[in-house]
Amino acid sequence: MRKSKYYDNSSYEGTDDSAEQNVVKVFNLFNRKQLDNLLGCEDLDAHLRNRLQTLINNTKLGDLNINSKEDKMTIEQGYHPDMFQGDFRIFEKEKPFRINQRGIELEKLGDSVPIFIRELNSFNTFSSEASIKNFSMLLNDIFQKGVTLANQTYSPTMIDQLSQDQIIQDSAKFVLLLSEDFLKQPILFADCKSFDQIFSKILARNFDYENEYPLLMGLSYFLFVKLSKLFSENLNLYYIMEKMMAIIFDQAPIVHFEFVIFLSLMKFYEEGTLTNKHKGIVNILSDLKLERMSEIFYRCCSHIVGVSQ
Amino acid sequence: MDVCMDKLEGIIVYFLRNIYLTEKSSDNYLFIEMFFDVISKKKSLISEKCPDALVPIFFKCIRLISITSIFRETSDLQLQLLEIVKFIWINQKEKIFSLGRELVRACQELFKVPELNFMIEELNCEYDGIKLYKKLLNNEYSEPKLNPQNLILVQIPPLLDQYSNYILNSASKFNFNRHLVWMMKRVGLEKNTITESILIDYIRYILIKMDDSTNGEPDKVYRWHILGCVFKHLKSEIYRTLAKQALFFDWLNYSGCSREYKYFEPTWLTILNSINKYREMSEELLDFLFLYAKE
Repeated sequence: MRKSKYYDNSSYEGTDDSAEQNVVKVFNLFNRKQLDNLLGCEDLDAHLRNRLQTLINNTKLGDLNINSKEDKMTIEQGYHPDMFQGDFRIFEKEKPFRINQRGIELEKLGDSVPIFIRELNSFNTFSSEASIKNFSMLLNDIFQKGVTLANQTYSPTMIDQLSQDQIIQDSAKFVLLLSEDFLKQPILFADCKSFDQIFSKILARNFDYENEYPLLMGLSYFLFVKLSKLFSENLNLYYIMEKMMAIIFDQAPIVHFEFVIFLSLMKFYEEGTLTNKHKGIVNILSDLKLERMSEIFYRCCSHIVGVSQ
Repeated sequence: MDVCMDKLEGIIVYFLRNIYLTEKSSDNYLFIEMFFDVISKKKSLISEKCPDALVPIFFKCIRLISITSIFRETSDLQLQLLEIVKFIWINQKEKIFSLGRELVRACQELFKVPELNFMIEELNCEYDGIKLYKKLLNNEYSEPKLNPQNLILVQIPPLLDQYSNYILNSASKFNFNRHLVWMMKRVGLEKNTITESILIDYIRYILIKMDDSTNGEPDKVYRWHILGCVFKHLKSEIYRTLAKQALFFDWLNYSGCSREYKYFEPTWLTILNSINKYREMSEELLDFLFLYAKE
């Protein structure tokens, strides 16, 4: 029988999982906080709460048969909360002078940091040590705040409150101001005679080496990985970041350009046409899936007014 | 000739989109009968010149059959529809499979129609070691033009489509209720009547075809707002059950594809965000989900 040429999951061989197992898997995709909130709702019927509790316990206990092809595919394509644990150690390590530099920028910003950011607990951690790891946590909290606002129900009382849109705008501005020194670094492509040289320049902006191990230097790679990480872990937060990225792309074209370069590197890597010089660095990108990253990138771009498909 | 055939397909789809059953209007019923009479007479020509048009015709027919079969009516119209369905199934079976998951969903209600048992039996057959309906649940045969997202439009009158786009892109969550009620009035939707059947496919349309708008307005309407409102609007018990099936159909048949999150999210947010104000609705949905998954 003819199979559509547009069907791209050719390795998929169907599943015999029961509907109940599938529902557990769907619940596994949802934000854990939302599930806990629902369970914590006192008005909810006790019988339903018990059913939900059982279901969530099942999910937590990892009752899923992770050896099945279907689950492997889920994990491969994202959303599995455990997927990235322990990966991307690059977030953990960066040169102290970068942390200090970021701290100085933060001090310069002073009171101009939006109040809603300053009110977050993770902001204190970030201001005491402005590392990329703490920055990642701060962004998570900011996005969580945005999601909470978006989840206001039918008769919202948020007219006088901060809107989600405002949160996105302000956080994009905050990220840009915080990374001003990185964004201002000039890149001179005039003397570049090949793609290879362009790659070298972009990679030098984003990474530094310590004993052959690349350390994170720049904003673009951090955002690139962060997008993928959120896409896999928490779609609710991801949607906010997607919109924030659109603003960053719009206002800092260099980040937009660097994303394209990362995608090109991944593409060359996949095709096996990358020069040996860059192979080491691209190993970091190999944790990401080109197809998915391209889709994420396209989704971010689609928010920018005036950028067509 | 190709251009003419494209036009013919467009015209057929336009007529199909305007076909839905209403309680009162006999004119409407006459129009439906006349239309399918023409299709029945010209089906061989359409199959030869414009085979892609047969897929939306097939989908419309099986949806109409399932709606009328609920009331156990065997009318001339139903016989005509059955004849068209059989013809298309025999001649353009592979194209029909592009309906994917929507075909399986529609067939859930066709178990009650003995004349269509041959379809159900074939869906249970194995191809390459996998049952056909399982392949369909994974939309294996969909193509860019013929895919469930586009074909669901056949069930949605153009006004609903246009106005839903307006609501998602330009209305605010403070007034979208009024827009929705007005829209339903314009289409002739009345509570506790057969017209509520449109809302079942409308729910599918919201889930699989529509996207949340990205215009960044703070008060923008999300898909779950619309789903909550539509579900509140449904009064007939039969259609409420079918609506719940439509909401959770993807949950039960989750294939592991990350893109399916789009289908789960609005239903999930409807449950989550209605828990305070419309607790009964959230409970009803959760209760149904547990039962449906068990069955």
